[in-house]
Amino acid sequence: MQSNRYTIAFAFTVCVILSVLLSATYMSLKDRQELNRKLDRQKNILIAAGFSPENADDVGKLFLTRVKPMVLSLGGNVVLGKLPEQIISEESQNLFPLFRISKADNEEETESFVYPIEGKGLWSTMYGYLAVDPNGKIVKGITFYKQGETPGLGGEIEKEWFRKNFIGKKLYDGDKLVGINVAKGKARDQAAYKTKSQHMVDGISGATLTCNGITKMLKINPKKYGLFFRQLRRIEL
Amino acid sequence: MSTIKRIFKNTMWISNPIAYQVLGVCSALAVTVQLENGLVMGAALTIVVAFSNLLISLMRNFIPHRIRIIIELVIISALVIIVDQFLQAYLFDVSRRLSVFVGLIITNCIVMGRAEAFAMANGPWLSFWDGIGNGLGYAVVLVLVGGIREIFGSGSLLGIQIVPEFLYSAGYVNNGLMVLPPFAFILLGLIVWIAKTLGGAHGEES
Repeated sequence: MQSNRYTIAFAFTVCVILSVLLSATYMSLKDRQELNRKLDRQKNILIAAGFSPENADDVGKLFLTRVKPMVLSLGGNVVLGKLPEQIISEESQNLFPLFRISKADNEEETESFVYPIEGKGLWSTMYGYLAVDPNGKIVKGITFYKQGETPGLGGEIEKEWFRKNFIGKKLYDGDKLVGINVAKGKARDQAAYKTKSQHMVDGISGATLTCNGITKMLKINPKKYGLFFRQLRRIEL
Repeated sequence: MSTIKRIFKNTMWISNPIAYQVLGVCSALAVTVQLENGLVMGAALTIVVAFSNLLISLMRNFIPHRIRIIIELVIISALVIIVDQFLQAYLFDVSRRLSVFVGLIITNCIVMGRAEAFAMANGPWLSFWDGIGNGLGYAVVLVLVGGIREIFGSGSLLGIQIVPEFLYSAGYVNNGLMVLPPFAFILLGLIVWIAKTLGGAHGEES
């Protein structure tokens, strides 16, 4: 049996060596991982907007030609000269990134807007993107690019079968933001379905808390962009 | 060389970690919806077992007996994190799909089991090969299960469509049950059964 001093010294040495090794690995791979994550976010913006990019080159090209990143202030105005990736965390309360997707034939015309959404699920904060029509009222697509929900249950939110249910659903009832309700079970089995079918999608059985999180997320996040879209609609009138 | 050969025969066939030792079944069921996931998971685990065996075997005479399990776990965790970091850097999509299961290699019983049962008692060279052998034994089963599930569940292999289109128009449908974890369980059972009948996994011949 070794002495206590030896045991502690041994444990300490092992920990130091391994932490140096881990930091070295992390530091040397950090740039590449960051690049991957950025590409993944861009890919998800494109997927939310209805594109299906095949590879990294596709993502880069589409993003450059069709997507116009911008930043909105709390009052719903465009902040000139600022890009979404330049927002530092202290500012994130008051500044909101927004991506304008232009039409294929005319760069001036808007096909849709995409903005980031985030909210708490059961285990994790879920991050994604929501694409809406130029009025900001109808969902054109949704993606989730980062979440730590139960694989096979809540994790299904990333899958196409779940995401495509949102397409065409309405965030607004007239001028009132109602969000989209992810039902417990099938949407058409709900009592409210008759009157609210436009604001409801099927839930995932076994993942009620994740779904509740998404319901909440789709009420809170669009609110931040409400002023911007209201101004936009007023200009068009 | 013959010892290494024997190790391989043992781990791949006679004492296969999944088929005979019934270790690492959890991840084998969860990640084998597609062949690619099975391949990457198998490779990741092989690397982790091989190097954890090597390191622990090198240190086996110095590790204080009272904290040996903790030391083993620390080494295994560090290796798993390194593998995970590499996956995030070079195979981002696969690492997203494997999600928590790469991290869960830490608790994969094969790694811990080989460290305790083999690396603590044998030299580094043999331990390393024992790790490779056990990792590959695990990978072989994952690839089998993943391949079968992808062919019948999604009609493709490594993402490439292999069930021809005319079969679909003739009314063929992918088997949805294949994609769900329960079928991996059934498939695993069948594989163990077949292996035992053929004399592997401590079946009739051994």
